[in-house]
Parts: sequence; structure tokens; C-alpha cells
Amino acid sequence: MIAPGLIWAVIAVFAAFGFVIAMRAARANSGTAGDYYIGGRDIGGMVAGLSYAATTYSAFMLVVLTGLTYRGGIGALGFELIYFAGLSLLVIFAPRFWLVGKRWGFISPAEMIGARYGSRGVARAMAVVSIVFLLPYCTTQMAGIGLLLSGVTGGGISLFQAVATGAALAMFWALLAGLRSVAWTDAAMSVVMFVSGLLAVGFAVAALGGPAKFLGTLQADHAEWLNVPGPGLWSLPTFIALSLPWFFFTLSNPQVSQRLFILRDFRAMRRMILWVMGFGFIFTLVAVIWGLAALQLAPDIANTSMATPALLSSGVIPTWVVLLLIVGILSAAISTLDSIALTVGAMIARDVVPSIEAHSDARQIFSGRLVIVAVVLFASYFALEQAAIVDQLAALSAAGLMVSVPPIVGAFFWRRGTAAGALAAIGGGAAVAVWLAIFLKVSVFNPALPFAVGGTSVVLFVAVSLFTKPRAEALDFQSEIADQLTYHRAW
Amino acid sequence: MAITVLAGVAVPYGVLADSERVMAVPLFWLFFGAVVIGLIVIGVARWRDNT
Repeated sequence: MIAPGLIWAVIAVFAAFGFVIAMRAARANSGTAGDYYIGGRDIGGMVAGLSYAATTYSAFMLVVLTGLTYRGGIGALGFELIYFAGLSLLVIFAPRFWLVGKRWGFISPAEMIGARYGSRGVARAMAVVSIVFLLPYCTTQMAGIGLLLSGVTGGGISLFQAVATGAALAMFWALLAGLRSVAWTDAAMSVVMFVSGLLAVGFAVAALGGPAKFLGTLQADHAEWLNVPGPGLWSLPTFIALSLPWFFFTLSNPQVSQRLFILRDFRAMRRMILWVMGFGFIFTLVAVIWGLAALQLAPDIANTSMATPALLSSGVIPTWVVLLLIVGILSAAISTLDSIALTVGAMIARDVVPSIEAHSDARQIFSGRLVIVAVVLFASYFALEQAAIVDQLAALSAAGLMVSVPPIVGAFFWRRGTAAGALAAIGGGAAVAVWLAIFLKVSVFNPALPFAVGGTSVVLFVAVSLFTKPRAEALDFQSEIADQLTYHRAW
Repeated sequence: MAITVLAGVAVPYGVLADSERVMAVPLFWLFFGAVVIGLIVIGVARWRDNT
């Protein structure tokens, strides 16, 4: 076990470091809503890439993915790499998001889709669905912080103390300087996360006698974990059920797709993608090797989400590496929370409440700040309460958010898509998701769930669009950015 | 890319499911990841930066 005092000291240093970065970011802000929510569209490729990586490769990686590897073996690597392959969607969609964002000044993906179909109702529907499925996901990040800190200290740091600390840090960084502060702290902390992850895996493998012995023992004692379906978890249906919605994560999750508005230029866009890709591939391997090492160093764990805390407190990882990794996981969770809070704040300020958009930048920022506080408090409260409905919605988030994918794809590739079609896809798909998962108790491990949700959404979007007419005020993204796409040689 | 992603599921669960080689699936997925990286790099390499 790690002494709670040591953890508190490291968190204090972490908070001070973040404070300095956030203060510098605050000084760089000009006070506009665009500056607060998307960094004035002037974020460079490296910072954007590392921030994207920290947001998307959340506490999920070293808590949940490690647990999935521990429980089910190498299928976890395949699942995460299918998600990783979803980054290829950026090659097609990043230039389009960025060009239309710059052309019409969009701040949130919901605002963009609403404008494309000429309907504030579409923007609202997308915002509401995002909020319904993302807020519970925030709760899992907060719960991850609690699980980690209380786990490595053997309960020395209580769940309440851990959650309160995470909430305070998340609120502070996002409130102070918005996206710029979040992106800068993300970039710095992602380096900590990356280096500490590599070090921790290195020490774990060394403790097992080096790479050759680690692999040899793994093949001898846990050969089943190196194949699919493995010891049982990764059957083909389960693999498809989890991988399909995650493949579309890049488009379906607004906290990630909003990152495409923050970039300075095409050069920054390319560099962002390369940074995310490099980080993501190596970090995926780290998380999976970490899980396989835990299998040998901390066998017979009943709750596999505790694999990381168990390995960290096993004594084979030097304390300073453990502390660095705790900071890395903590910052990943906070980064994801902050990004979601900022995106939800932007969507509420600009898409959900019509009277706010007409007001000044200061009013929009103030409204967003209130939402950020509400989001973090919501996540904290339900992480402590562990409400069943929140857990169900969090598990459903990846599949539920898929409903926005058809209208997004249609926005750029199908002129015939209409506001009614987009509304039907978002509303109908979300209703099917909730009905199946909450009322019929269809598991997220059942591929019927993503296929039904995605299929309903696609069918409704196409069918209703064909029976209705595009609105006169709808924007024609395809024609408007065609020349620029050609100029930039984008696909 | 679509073919690559399909292969990322079909090969481990089809071709390699009964493989005698213990490391066949992990090595295939490492190769799959490398191919994805290669395709993305090719995709962004042709972009023209200046506006």
C-alpha cells in the first residue's frame, strides 16, 4: 500500500503545476466565447494532439482496458485497435469539420449539424442526446479516480476524498481559462501519463525476469489469454458489440470532434493526427502489457477493475513510478471530464438555450462555467452514490452516441439529407438505445444493441429524408468547401 | 481501410482461431496496428498546408 500522505503530497505538486499552466493560459485568453471554448482556433498540432490523446485515452485505458485484458486476454488489444483504426475517419472528416467551422464560426459539433440542416431543433436534439449519454460517462471517470486512490492506499484515502479532489481540480482548470487551459494541462500531463506508463510496464516486465521470460511464462501458464475468445470474455459477438460503436468514437463523441475546431491550420491538423496516433498505439500496448503483467504479478483478483491498483501496490513498481502513474491516470480522468464539461457547456450555451447565443461573449462564457460546475458536481455525486441507472447509461454511452453519426456523415456527403431525417435519426436511435438497454436489459456485450441503434438511426435518416424536403435555410457544406478541399488535396 | 478493419476482426476470429502458434493473434494485431498507421500517414501526407 502507498501512504496516503505521499499521495496527497504528489497531488499538491500536480495541482501547483497545473495552476501555473492554467494561469498562463488564462493570460493568453482574449475573453471571447470562441477563445474560451475552442482556444480561438489557434492551437498548434502538438498541443492539440496530446490534448486529444489525453481526452480520448482516458482513465479507461489503465483501469478498464487493463481489467479487460486481465479478465479476457488479448482480445482487449484487438478491441482497442479497432477503436484506434477509427482514427482513420479523421483523414476524411477533420478537414471538413475544420473548414466549415472556420467558414461559419461553429463552436460545437451540434451547432454545426443544426446549421447544416437549417434547424435549431437538430442542434438541440444532438446536444440533449450528447448530454444524456456523456454525463454518466463523466461519472465513470470520477469513479475511476476514487477506485484508484482508495485502492492504492487500501482505503487510506476515502472515495469521498478522492472524488472531491478530482472535482476540485477538474473545475478549477476548466473554469479558469476554458479550452486553452485544459489543452495545455492535458498536453503536459499526457507526457507524464505516457512516460510513467512506459516506466511502470518496464519495471513490471523486469520484475517478471525480462521480456523473454515474461512472454515465456505467459505462453506456458496463460496461453489461452493470447488467443481469442480467450478464457471466455472475447467471444466474436462480444468483440463486435464493443468494437462497432467505439470505431465511430471520433465522430460520435462531441468532446473529441470539437477538438477539430481548435486547430490553427492544416499543418496543425496533420501533426495533431500523427501525435494522437503515435501516442495511442504505444499507450494501447502499454495498457495491454500492463494487464498481462498483472495476471502474473497479482493473480486471482475477483474485481478485475482493481488490477491496476493491485499491481501498483504489489511492491514491484518503485514508489516514485507508482506516484507518477497515479498522477498520469488522475490527469487523464480529469482531462476527459474537463473536455466533456466544456463541450456540454458550449452546447448548452449556444444550442440548447436560444436566448444565450444572442447575448455577449461574457454571458456565453458565464453560462458555460455554470454548466461546467453542474457537470462536475453531477459526476461527483453519482460516482459516490453509484446509482444503477447512471451505470447503465454510462455503459450505453458509446452505442447511444452512435445516433449522431448518420446526420454527421450526411452533412458532408448527402445533400438530400433533411432536418426531419436528422431529427428522426437522433431521436429514434436514442429511443431504441434506451428502450433496449434500460427496459429490455439488453447487455452492451450483445451486438444486437449497436446494430439495432445504428441501423435504426441510418434507416430513419435516409427514409425520413427521402420523404421530406431540405429546408431553404440549410447550408450546403459540400459546395461551399469543395474548392478548399481540392486546394488542400483532402480526400 | 474498410478491408483492413474487416480483416482486423475476421483474421483473428477466423483464420487464426485454431492456429497452433500461441503468438499468432497478438502478432497479427500488432501488424494490423502498423498497417492502420501506414494508411493514416498516407492519407494525411498529401495534404497541402498553406492557405
